[in-house]
Amino acid sequence: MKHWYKILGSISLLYACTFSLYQALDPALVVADTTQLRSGYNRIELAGHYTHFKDAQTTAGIRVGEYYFQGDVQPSDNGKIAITLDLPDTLPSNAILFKAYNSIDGELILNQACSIGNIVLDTAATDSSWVKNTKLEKYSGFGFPNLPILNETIRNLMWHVPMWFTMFFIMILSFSNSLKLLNLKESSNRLEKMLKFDMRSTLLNEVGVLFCVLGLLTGSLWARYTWGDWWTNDPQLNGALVVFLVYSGYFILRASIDDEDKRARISAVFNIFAFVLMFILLMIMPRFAAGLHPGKSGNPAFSQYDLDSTLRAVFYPAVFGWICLGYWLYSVRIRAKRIKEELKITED
Amino acid sequence: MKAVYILFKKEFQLDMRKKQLLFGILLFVLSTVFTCYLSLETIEDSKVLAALFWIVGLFAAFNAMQKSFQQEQNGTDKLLYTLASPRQVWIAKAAYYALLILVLNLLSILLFSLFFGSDIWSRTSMGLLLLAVSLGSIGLGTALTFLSALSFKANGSASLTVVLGFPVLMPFLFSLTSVTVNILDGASWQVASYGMMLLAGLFLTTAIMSLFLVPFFWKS
Repeated sequence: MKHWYKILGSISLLYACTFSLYQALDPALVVADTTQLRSGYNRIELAGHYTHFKDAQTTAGIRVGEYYFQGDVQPSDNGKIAITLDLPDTLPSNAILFKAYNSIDGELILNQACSIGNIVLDTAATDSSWVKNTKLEKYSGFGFPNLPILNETIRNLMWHVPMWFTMFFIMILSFSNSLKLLNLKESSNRLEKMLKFDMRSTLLNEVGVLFCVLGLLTGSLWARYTWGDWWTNDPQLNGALVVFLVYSGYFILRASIDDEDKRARISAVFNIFAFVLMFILLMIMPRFAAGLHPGKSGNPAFSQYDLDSTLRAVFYPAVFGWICLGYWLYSVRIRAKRIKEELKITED
Repeated sequence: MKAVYILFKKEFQLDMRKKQLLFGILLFVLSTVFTCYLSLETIEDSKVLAALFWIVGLFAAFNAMQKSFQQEQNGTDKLLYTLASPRQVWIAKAAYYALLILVLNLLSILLFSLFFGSDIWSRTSMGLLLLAVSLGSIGLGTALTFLSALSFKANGSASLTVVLGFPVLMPFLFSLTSVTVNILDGASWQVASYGMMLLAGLFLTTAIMSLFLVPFFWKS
């Protein structure tokens, strides 16, 4: 059963792709149409995503410090709800949170910058009619987290991050082939073995660079919708681009040497150097600089707190699937190369 | 150790004998800094100064490396095989070129402070700046010596060094530019130490990697 990884990889990739694109997100409040509250009458419109304002009996209001002011609600559809709210002249806090609750979506909270306008801030203010805020149960269904800014782009987690896992996996294989090449003992078929390892590490690098490019592209797309630009000055981004350039240098170096034996040895040396450089650029350098990637300033990757169980259920199969696909690509490349060489021999 | 010293002295004596190469690089540093002065006159932004300084430093380093292994082209590399181990040759070359690049960068600091007044330097701790520049120069010299040995063995031309050099030197340049900007803005040792540690780590990694890898391709 040498094809087991292809079957398992295809299944998990199919599962991950389907789920990452079709699974709904958790319900969440996205935006409120006001940035300033006034004393007296306020009308606030809240927009929700995957919410059920109309299907279920919804209550909504604002949370000010430890108090909760509930308004009269008027859902226009499942994604929009208008609140009319009567606010007092003094409030004990200016920490405003928008809040909505219904039986399907659970408690929804939106933390959006909002000033208190002409309302006087007095930390001692209190009134017997004010209601203390109570914590209600959250949405407990199966869905991807619906986080501010990220929103739907959280699906890219299953595409962008596995690319780098796959690249690392492929590059480690290539690195080990280069090490084996340099450690070959003197023997009659030394050159033959050397060329075998050389071919392996070159083709692995080709696949690795492909995944590096895919990672950069998916990352660039993600950056556009979360950080606002196709390219941002982030150590991880710059490092990834330099990794791409270093491995391009590997292919240029190979192209400039004619002698097979020399080419195998020199490109193996450069490959080892490039791998160490990649490790420094992607794993060590980002720890020394501030950046935008999650878990920054200390940890360049996702921390255990960033993934919830729904994401894990799709993310790990995705990583496994992409790694299998990467190795499959390499095995196809190596077979094509062998056939080409055999054809060349028979033609001669 | 003796072989390293002799090879180091050989490099120095060769350069003293063919002074035009050395003066060519010195002239390059002088003219680029002067060109910067002609168009800018003053620099207020420490980021601009750091960028210009390392552009001059990087290209001076590439210029200096042009002759490192290429001067062995007419068969003297075969002579080196018989005289010393590849590691010894590499250490001697790396030490010499790291020192040369350090001297060039110190000269360019001198020229920049000569042309661009004292305002921008007023907050700078000179000791820290010299330490950062020394660490950077030694690191650039080590990495470039390894790469030019590699490209000399590949096809004997110096242009490959430049192609491979730009991406490989990027980690150095990332940390060098940020550390230099910090120091120019008056950062204390506490703030700059992270960058310094990174620079020292990069230098050590390159040095160890090179020492490990050089014997594998030197005798081909």
